[in-house]
Amino acid sequence: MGAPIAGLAGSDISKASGISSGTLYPILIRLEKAGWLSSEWEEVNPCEVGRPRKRLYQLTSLGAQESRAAFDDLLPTRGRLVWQS
Amino acid sequence: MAILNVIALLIGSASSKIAADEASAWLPVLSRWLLDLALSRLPSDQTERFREEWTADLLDYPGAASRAIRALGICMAAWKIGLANSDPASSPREAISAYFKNCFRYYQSMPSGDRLAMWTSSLGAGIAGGISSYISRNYMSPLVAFGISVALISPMSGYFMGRTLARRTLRRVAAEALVSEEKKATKV
Repeated sequence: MGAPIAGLAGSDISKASGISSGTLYPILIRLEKAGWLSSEWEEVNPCEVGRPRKRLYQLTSLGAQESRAAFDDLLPTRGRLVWQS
Repeated sequence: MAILNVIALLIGSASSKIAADEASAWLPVLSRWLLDLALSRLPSDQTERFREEWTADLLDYPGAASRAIRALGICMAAWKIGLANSDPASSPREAISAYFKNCFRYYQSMPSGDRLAMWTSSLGAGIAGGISSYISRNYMSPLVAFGISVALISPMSGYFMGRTLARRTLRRVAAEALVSEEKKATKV
């Protein structure tokens, strides 16, 4: 939920979040189907870089909106006063 | 005594080096095999996409062991994705028929080396089971011998039977849960 990022591969998301591949990929597929994420192939030539292309996932505007709402639900006091003196 | 210690140390270090060499040689093969297994569980229209994506994913990890662990996770991911995409079998007869078809198809898709390994392991497990039941007549109770034989043989037979049966059972349970949820929703 940090700043918008150009696109991250599954392995990068896994490293950043600490979620294992067995959990991560089914989540990514579901979020992509729901329209929260979009994915596209990395724009490199596999022959030049010597490895297959990565699939880069990016949050859509719907995904950003919905995830922000979900995040607010998790932290109801965010942006408000916790108590009044 | 000191000489024996030195010899033991040399043998130990040599054998650990051999074990490390073996592991470093076999782990990439294991990773590739796990990736192929993962891809075989996906719907055919998604195979090519995930072959490229997951191969790139594995190559992002430098060590052979970490790649093998990652490949194991990918296997789990493919199993979950396949489960989410599949339709439950409509009848037990169809489920049994699909089970045998799946087993046969999987066997056909195995490389000849894997088939040889499978038959060799099965034969080894069978011989071990026979020996243990022979021993049981003299030294151990038949129940213990039976347990040992089952423990030796089941990994091979259980793999083929279990993988498909478990998938079918999970699909049926998931479908039943979905139907009951829908019923609840329509009542409300």
